[in-house]
Amino acid sequence: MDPDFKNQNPPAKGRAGSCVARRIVLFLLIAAVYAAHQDVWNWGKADPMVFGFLPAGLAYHAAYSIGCAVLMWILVKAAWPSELDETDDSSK
Amino acid sequence: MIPVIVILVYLALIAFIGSVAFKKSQENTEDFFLASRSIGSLVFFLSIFATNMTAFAILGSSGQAYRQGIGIYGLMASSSCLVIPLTIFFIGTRLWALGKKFGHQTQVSFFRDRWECNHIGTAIFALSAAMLVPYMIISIMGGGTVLADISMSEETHKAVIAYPIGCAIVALVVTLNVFLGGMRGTVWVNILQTILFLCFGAIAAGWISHALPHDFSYYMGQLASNPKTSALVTRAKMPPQLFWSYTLIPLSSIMFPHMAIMCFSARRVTAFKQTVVAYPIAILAIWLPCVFLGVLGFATLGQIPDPDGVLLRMLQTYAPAWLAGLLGAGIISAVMGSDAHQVLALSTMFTKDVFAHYGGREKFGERRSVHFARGFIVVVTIIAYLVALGLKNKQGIFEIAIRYAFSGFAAMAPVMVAALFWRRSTKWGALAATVFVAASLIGTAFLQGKPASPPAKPAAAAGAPVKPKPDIIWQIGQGADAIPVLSRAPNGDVRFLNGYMTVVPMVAGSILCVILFSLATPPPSKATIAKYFGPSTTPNTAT
Repeated sequence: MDPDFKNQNPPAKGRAGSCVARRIVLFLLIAAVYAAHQDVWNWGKADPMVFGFLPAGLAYHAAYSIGCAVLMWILVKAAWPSELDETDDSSK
Repeated sequence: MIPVIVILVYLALIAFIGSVAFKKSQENTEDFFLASRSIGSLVFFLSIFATNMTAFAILGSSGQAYRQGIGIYGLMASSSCLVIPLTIFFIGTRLWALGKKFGHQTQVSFFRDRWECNHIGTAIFALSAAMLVPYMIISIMGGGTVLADISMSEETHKAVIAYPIGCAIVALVVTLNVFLGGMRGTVWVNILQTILFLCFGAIAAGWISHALPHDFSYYMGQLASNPKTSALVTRAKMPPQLFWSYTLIPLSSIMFPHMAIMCFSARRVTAFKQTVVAYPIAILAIWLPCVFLGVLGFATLGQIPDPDGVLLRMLQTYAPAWLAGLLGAGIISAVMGSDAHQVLALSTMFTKDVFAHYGGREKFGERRSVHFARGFIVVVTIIAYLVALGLKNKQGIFEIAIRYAFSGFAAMAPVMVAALFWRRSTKWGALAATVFVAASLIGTAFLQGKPASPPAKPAAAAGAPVKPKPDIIWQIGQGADAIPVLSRAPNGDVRFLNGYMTVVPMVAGSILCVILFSLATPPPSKATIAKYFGPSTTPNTAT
């Protein structure tokens, strides 16, 4: 649980519900990306060579790295702890 | 000689930046250790990335790829692409906010306040410092080795910059930079360093592809079509248990004191937003070309005596001297970027968590505390230098110690998570986890074996279908039904169950210790819980 989350007034029932749903979706997304790291289907094969020279396993994990950046962008947009921005403002 | 000149100019530039930072500095510890918490977004990203990237990201990754193939990228890099930004997102931002609110400058000062403890904080400090010191020593060793390799004369086959002098140069420049500039000097230098080594991989790959007689696809096709080398372009020889276990190792990142201290130094929390998104791309930019070139090195150079030097050898073979020098400076950047932060972190921890905590600041004042920190930097670097010289041939010991340190810091991550997110956690839970991690590390060191054979020869590593049997230390049951609880891998490392790294039981045990001992002991006072979590909405704040 986010420590500063508890500082806030209790949200309205509908908002709280959507907040929980969003957290569950984001948690599942992170879990899915974590699971996608174990690409057992690429284990013993080099083909297809992406761009003619990148073995499949290496190309997959290079794409996976970009996927991680996208995941982090989604988290920043959808799950940023906005209470921390208040700490930021108060310290200016 | 040209590479040596380029590198020496670069080192002089770093020392100069440190002296400029010195002129900007104020004589207080917050400015010296955290640059007055004023680091802007771009510099924060470049600096936190430099903090975490060592020479291993360039030399080690290509060397390991030469030995084991492309799987190294998934094993070490892409797992970090996910886990490190997540830890910065969930833990780093909270550390930053608590540092800003309550003035914490180290993890230990946060733990002490959060759990109302004193000596338990000292225990966590001792374990963290013990795990950080070998890392610092091997950075100096790595710098000396790289300078010696780069300056190797083709005529005499002797290094123009011998190992002891190389170590001395790296230690001196790092000391000057940190001594004079503190955090400010270190992060300014990081701007140059990170840009240099971010460009390193792409430039090296581009130049080498231009200089090779065939294109990349020719060499990769050759490796893939030869049964003896095909494992280099797959993960056929990489145990899945090892591959999965490694995803826990990047948990260590945020627990390394130099990473956590960097999180305290940001001016605004928005710095973290860009950092977590850009971090995986930066890892990709460094690791992908280095791993690829390591594998390519096997195809183009064949067997070489020192696989970790494969990238340097490719540069010397395929790049002009000035470029090899510039790229050598990129490698030195990686060495010194992390080394400077390690030295500074040790100094910060010792000054704040020991010297100031036990009355030094009240007795001697803020200004003297900075002098003490500077003195500590000089002393610790001299000791590290002497150890690097004295134990030159024992580098393997430090490499093993670093592997332990990664597992140890990863296993300490549950302590941080509990402190930040679980109000019912207690100092006894933290102490239990710390003792468990320390005991696990000592136990693992005791059980660590020597490699079954000398470091695998490239030919054997590349393709020979030899699968040595693990050395069983402890098993449950007998015969075919026996379960090997602890065993030794061919390289001597201890493995858990069917080949999992010891970090797996260490993290699991640490989580259990925190939970069980916290539940069995009284929680911190309501005032402290309210300070960190806000007033509870339920009558019982301790649940």
